[in-house]
Amino acid sequence: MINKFYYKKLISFKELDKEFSIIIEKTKKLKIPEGFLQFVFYTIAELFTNIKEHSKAKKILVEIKTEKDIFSIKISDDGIGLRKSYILKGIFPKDDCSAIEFALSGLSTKSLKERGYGLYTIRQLVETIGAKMELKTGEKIALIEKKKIWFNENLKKEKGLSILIRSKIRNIDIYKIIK
Amino acid sequence: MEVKIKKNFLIFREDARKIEKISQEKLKKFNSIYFDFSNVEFISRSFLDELLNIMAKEKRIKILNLQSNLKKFFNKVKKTKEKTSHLISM
Repeated sequence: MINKFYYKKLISFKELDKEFSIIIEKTKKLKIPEGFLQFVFYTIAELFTNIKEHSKAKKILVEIKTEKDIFSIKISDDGIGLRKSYILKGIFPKDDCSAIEFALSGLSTKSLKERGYGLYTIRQLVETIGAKMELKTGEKIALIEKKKIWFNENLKKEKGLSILIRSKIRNIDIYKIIK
Repeated sequence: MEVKIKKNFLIFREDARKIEKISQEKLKKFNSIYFDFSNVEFISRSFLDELLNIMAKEKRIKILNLQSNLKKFFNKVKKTKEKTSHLISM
């Protein structure tokens, strides 16, 4: 049986590094298979890196919880959002849907050599382990499940980017999945 | 020359740039520098990407005692980077 766990914290941009260590130490205490913990660490590390490198966010809200055998990670920032971060690098997605598709297919806002593996690999992991992922940015919400993306209108209009990942806790080897 | 990495989690590119800075300093006095990763429990792809960029420029930087799953990850990212740069240079 997995320990019930709930963690919610609003942090500043400067605290990302420290916060990562805190999250790791807390989640390591849960009775979760090592392989799944690596998935959690990988996902949070990539999302934190994206925030640091592209978002221009000041505040980040981190929410992690377990409910029975389901693990959820939600990380939201108050930054510029996906579309604007592409536009600033000279890539012009026509709308928020395109920006989400660019990010999920691995199009980097950095130079060509540094392909954007962040969200691309998270998507790959999510699809392989049968998890669900929800992205909210600007006027769109994208739901990724069973290798498909569904788009919906985001009536609230998200300032930055919010990502929620929900997965059944299971033993996996992410290093076999990652390309 | 051997330097032990004290951090357990290396996630940002700036962690790799710190390694580069230490290397530049030490390589003025020594022929090569070995970074001992035995304390390191997790490395992110961004950190690794940056570290591999640095190691491609400075061949005298060596890595020691990387945990087996991280070693697997290191080799995978290295291989992918090599493939990608080959495609770009075509």
